[in-house]
Amino acid sequence: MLRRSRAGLIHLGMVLFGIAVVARAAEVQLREGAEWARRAERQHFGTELMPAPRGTIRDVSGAVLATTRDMVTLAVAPRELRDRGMAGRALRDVGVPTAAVRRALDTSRAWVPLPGTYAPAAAAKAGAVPGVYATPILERAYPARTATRRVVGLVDARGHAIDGIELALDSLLRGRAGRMTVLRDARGHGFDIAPRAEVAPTPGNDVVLTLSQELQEIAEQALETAVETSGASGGDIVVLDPHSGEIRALASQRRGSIASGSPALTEPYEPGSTLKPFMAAALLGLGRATPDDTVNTENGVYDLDGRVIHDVEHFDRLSLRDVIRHSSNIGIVKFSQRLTAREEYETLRDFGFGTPTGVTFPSEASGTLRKPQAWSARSAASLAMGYEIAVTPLQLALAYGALANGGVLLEPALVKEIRSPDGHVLYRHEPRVVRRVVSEDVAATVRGMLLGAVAEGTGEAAALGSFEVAGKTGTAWRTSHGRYTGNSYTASFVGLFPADDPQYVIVVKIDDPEGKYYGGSVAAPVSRTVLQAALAARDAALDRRQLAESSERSAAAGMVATRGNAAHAESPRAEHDAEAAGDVAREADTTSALATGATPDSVPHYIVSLASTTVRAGEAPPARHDEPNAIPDVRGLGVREAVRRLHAAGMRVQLDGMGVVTGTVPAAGSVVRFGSLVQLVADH
Amino acid sequence: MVALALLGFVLVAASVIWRRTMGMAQARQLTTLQRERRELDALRARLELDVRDASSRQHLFPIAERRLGMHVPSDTQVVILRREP
Repeated sequence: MLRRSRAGLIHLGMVLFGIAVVARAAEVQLREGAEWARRAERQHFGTELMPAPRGTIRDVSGAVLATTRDMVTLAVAPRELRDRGMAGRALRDVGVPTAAVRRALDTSRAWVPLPGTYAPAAAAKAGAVPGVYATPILERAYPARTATRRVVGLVDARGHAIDGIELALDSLLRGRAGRMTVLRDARGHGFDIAPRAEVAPTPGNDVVLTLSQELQEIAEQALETAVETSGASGGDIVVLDPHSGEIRALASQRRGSIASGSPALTEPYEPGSTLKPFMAAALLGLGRATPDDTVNTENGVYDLDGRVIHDVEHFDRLSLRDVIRHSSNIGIVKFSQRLTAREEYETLRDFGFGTPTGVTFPSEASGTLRKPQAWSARSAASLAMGYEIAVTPLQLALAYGALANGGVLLEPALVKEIRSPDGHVLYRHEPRVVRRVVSEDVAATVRGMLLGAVAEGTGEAAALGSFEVAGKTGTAWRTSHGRYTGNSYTASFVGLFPADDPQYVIVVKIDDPEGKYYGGSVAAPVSRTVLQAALAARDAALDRRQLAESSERSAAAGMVATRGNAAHAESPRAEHDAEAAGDVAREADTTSALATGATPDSVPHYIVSLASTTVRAGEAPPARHDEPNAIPDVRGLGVREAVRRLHAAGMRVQLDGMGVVTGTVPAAGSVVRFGSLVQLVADH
Repeated sequence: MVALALLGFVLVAASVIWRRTMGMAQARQLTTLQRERRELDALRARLELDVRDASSRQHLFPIAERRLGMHVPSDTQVVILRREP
């Protein structure tokens, strides 16, 4: 009886316990279920940010100037290492410096982050060692060693833009970070499984610059050689397309300084004689002079109210055309007396001096152009000779661009196109007119004067053998502590190439050269070196069909037959000014060593052929070189057919995948120059 | 009856565990493949940069000049061939 009642009690207890368990389970599941589910979610899953890759920066032909790549950083927990010898070998194999490996194996430290970033494939073996932790990061990479670096700028180790286009367009390039859910174990460590993206990161937009990487390299190389051989303290080269305002090259060099910023945009200087053509344009535009009007140039010495003005070459009288050709200070001062101070000021202001150009760059100088109220009695004469005014090389290039394109001042452009990650064009540069500065007739007349300055004047060293080049030299005193030193100069040359329909405006500025210091002997040969290398380059943003026509026109006119290359030594100018012309001839021989050493007839000609394509029935004819070409839509086609169509449109092709084409970079419809690189993206 | 119920429970539990194990294995495989893809993308990017550097004028010029005796042609040595459309 007693035993039965005990068993009954135990049964009852078990039933009650079971009921309690079920009741509690029901309470946990039904009443508190949501709360417990939330707690479990918090413990099992964590949220982490997914960094967005920055957009790619390309040059005008499609070459990558800056891109983002996956890398890893390594850190070691020395006390977690089971085999220190193996860990040390693995780290050394990855390329970790020996000192850092030694530190990483020191068990007195709990955590040792290793310096540098490593390729994921190379670091995979080290990352597999227990105690070695690999963290993936996105790293910015710049393929070009030095060219374009000043313009493209930099991103620091934390992904923050610090200079150049990277900084100017940071909000467009950086993209938007995403969020991912990571599954964790009981200790909070993540499982080795793919995280779930809650919000996918949005990659940054791609930016296509107007720069030509190849031309930039040519300019940098020519500038480096010129600075070295002339013993200068630095220099700048700007190459601009005068019809679109697009900047093709922006090279700067400063002796003993590390590349940062772009001095061609930020460091104004007194341009000297390169400003004279704008005075001529004002005189012609206002009807105060014709190209053949003459003034007394006083045999090279002129006393203007106690200020003695000298000319390098001595003439009795010179026409306005010859004043530009011989760069006569006295002549331009006398001619400029026909302008009022206001007219002189307004002319220079209208050409864009004294005002920032508005180029897409983090910093830009406005230069200096004082209003007439602030002028002294000497200012008008000084301005006519290119003093008492400070301009940046870019401002000067744009002002000459107005003379080159028929009289219209354009906004400069460094950014040609911005595309979203899916290839849609968000922005495309169209030439933007600031104002008409002079009439087409005046611009053409001034171009003719500039042609004379290169053909038979101070800029002979810039002349080419088979193309006409127009241009103007400048040699200006430099200041130190607000005073002209009298023994330090800025040598410069501004060229238009080819002269009849310029594709380039090229500004060459050499700071404080030693020995020879004339713009015609120091800067003009650099222009010639750049142009010759650009002509021989595969892709220097030149329209070769138009160049062929220019060359034929020049040859037909017989204008260049006796000039260029070896012809300098026989220049008639040598008789006038033995020192300056002799310098020109010698400089042409030394700074253009790459381009000389063989006469045109003694070596085989290098032939730059246009792309050979076969036109099939029913297809559009091949692309014309004198027109910008739109990238055809080849989506849905096989790779072979797409490549054929792109080649027929005059483009070079880089394949990314095989099979069916899903898109192109730049996107279909983008307007590119002949010979530009187009990336063909296929589905696998 | 109880035995059948227990067997059913075991089978269901085993299938759930098998499914989760397979899911985890596939997730790991997916992760590995994604990592390999990233590694290969990174390698490709690095190689492209290397090619770019190796084909730059700065790199090629001294080699072309010294080893091959080449030079930049003057403009008179460059002939642009025109092809009529």
